[in-house]
Amino acid sequence: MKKSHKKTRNKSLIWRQFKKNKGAVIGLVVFCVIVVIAIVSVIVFDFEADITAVKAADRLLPPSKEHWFGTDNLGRDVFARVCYGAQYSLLIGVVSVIISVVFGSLVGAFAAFVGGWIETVIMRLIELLLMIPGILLVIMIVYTFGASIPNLMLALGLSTVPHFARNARASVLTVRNNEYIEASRALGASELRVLFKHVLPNAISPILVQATSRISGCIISAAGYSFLGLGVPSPLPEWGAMLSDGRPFIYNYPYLEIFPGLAIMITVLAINQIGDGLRDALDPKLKR
Amino acid sequence: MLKYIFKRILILIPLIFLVSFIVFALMDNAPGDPVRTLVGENMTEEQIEQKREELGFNDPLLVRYGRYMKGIFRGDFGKSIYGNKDVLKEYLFRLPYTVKLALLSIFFTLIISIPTGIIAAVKQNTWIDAIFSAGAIMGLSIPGFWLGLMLVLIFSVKLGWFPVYGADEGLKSYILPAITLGVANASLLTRMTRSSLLDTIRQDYLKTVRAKGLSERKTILNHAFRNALIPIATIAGSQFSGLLSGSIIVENVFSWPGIGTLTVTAIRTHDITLATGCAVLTTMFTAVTLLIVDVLYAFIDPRIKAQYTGK
Amino acid sequence: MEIFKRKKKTVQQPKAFEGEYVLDVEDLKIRYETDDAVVYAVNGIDLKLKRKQTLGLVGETGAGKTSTVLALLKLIPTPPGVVEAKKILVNGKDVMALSDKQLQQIRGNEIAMVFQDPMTSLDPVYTVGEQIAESYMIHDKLSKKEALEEAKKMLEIVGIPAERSGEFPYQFSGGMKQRVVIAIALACRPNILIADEPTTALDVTIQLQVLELMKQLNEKYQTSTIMITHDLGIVAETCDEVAVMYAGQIVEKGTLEDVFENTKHPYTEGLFNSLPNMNDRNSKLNPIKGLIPDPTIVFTGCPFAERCRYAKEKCFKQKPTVKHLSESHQVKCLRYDEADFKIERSLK
Repeated sequence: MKKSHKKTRNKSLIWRQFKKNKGAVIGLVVFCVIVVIAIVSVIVFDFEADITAVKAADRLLPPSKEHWFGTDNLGRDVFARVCYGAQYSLLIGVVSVIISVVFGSLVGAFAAFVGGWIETVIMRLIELLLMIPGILLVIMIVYTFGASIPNLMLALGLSTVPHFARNARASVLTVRNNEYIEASRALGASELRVLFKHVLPNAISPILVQATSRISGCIISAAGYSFLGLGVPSPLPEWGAMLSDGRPFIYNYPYLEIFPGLAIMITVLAINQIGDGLRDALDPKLKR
Repeated sequence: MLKYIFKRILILIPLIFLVSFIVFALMDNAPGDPVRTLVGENMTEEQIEQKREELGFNDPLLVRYGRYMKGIFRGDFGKSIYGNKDVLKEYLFRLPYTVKLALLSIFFTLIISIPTGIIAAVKQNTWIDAIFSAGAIMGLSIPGFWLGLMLVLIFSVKLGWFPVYGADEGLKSYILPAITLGVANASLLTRMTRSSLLDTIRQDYLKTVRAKGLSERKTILNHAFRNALIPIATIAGSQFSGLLSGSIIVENVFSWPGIGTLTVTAIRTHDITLATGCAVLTTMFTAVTLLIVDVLYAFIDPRIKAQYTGK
Repeated sequence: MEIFKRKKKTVQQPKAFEGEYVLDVEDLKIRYETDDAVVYAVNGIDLKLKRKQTLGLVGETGAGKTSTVLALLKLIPTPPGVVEAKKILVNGKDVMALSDKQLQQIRGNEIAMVFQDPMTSLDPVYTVGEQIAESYMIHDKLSKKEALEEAKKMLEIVGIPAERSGEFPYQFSGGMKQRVVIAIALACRPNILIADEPTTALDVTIQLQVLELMKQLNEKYQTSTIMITHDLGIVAETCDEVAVMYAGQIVEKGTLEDVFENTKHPYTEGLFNSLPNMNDRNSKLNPIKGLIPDPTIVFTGCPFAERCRYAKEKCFKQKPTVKHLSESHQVKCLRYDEADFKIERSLK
């Protein structure tokens, strides 16, 4: 009868556990600040005038009072662009993971639920897909359909569907085979009722933990693909695209490369900390 | 054991079909016209059309795919459109650069992460643990390619210790890319080592071992770590195979003459045959590496060995 | 010469110790300090074990039995554990004062332990032979080859064919594994063996075999034993002396006869009453009402008072002290201050 009432660990308890992890709380605060910056900068900055307009007179100015992070080779204020770019990374990270989670969980839960040869076929296919390096898939998809934010999201999302499908199936199966599920089934609950009342709520924590860590992975990957020119296209101030734009000037104007990179790192670090805190709070067994 | 390996090799066949079909179908819809690239600017539309027919580009997708697959099973991956080079030869020429880099990088990863992971676990909840764990989560959060840029900026441009790009200066050229690729892996593996060692440290059999009178050091190394090694090896193995395909972006940063750069160049130049070949070969290569790693587990865990041998 | 030397090296005698008690513990206290709470596992117990004797340590789960014996080997993990005692003498050596190195020399050599669950107490990645041999390599400084040879002999002694020494734990059944664990514990002929519920995890039919084996070997090697159990049948079967533990204290202690025939403490009485009556299947089961107390609570009175049907007001307010009823028999109950107090069982 171990952990039969994980579901009953109510929200306040999870929150109390989460609060114990100082790093996670700091991460959450930093993340909220980044979200605020992303929202505020959309309101404050004008996309045309502040973000993309070329100002030849201000080319490559070092960081100063007027331009905190300096200006780039087209005279655009790097600080404004970094702030404005926050929305892209956050959006890409979250949306692509939602795509993975939704499709992956559906496929995985479906396979576990249906069973039989259909399950076997689905899982074999997933095993094969897992053996294809995700990075190749993403590059090929983005290249074929064109470098744009929606395509990048879709590619990143689809490339991790097999991982989520496998894990979703595994957690549905473990939960399903637990004694308390047996018990409620023995009491005459229908299969569907069992799935929605007992199986899904209990399978959700591992999926949530995996999803959080995947968001940070997606943000890093997205920046990487943009850096290669196979992600968010210039002149959008996505951080990876900014790194790509600034690369020719790295030797003399390193600040062009430092600030967007730091922005990625801080965002990802905050999300990773939140992920650690969530993992500890949702599953105390894993807490070390 | 042999039977198991054979089974695993058999899985490669559907894998090749699947990956090549995905790539083939995707590239077929990709922008850019390889024939136009091939024949150059000065041809008339009719001439292009004729060349297209000649190369079989007008056949239906499945026909072309079938032709391609037939070639693959004879070991013929076609010729690159741009430069007309044998794809397999070109790939095999670049492969050693990537493999050597991956080996060095996983070596860095292991020598850093295993000791730090063990120390962090043994000194759980002390300041040493806190520092190592904080370092690990930082390392996980740094984008690899950006770290590469920063390392180049500091150690190559400012200090001049290492070359800025390329693989021409022997071991010296390998150091920065290997570290760049290793940081995230080492961070992850440190966390894994720590948590899996903490798991085994609490196992009952360690009580038996301690009650025998074994020293704490030997208890941790000979018994706890030996058992923790199984999940650690799993992660390290998949990290190594990941390095073979996953170094694409970092290779780009260092202009590394490996398969990642080759793949990206192929895609950028709309070279369908080369890109498809790269994808298929990289997938196969990764799968084989994973297989080798899986077989090696048997030497760590007798239970897995028994499974393989069907005992 | 060579043969002679080898013989000297491998035939172990029980470790020489001339004192009356191989084990002498006074006022042992163990608590576990975590972020959330302090758990008081053991609250001041005295234990003495004579040579070649078997002491039964009886009590419910959570009474502090395992913590007590782990402290004898100084195997309580610190932190979170905190161990305090006036003395813990094993073969006359104070465990509390020994260096790590000296402790390692004692563990497995003078005092050894058999754990509760054989399924988890063997390292899955080493062969059983290797795991037994390890003891010889540590304490008798044998080479790996010699040690493996000895391990094979030891396997035979516990009733496992020597050929199986190259097999891994997962290839053995539970009872066989427990035999291996016993072989590990007795490999270096310790003079004290601690058996922590050695049969709880085994099938009933196997339990007897394992107990019989332990009894036999203890006689053969003249080992003194502490047998932890909650099974009074096993106590009656194997023990010379009995100590009953409740909430980290020993509430009654005496010879087997004292405790079984002349029960004094209400808790011990409850333990006996809760046994099903074999002769009268219609009689109602008679469990002790209530649960064992929360170990994070520090009691001002007797910890058993709440569940005790003889409890008076003073039992909740005053700490019980040890009453010596005879040379060997002692009880920790306030009611025995009253000259005419008797529990029902002793009336029967």
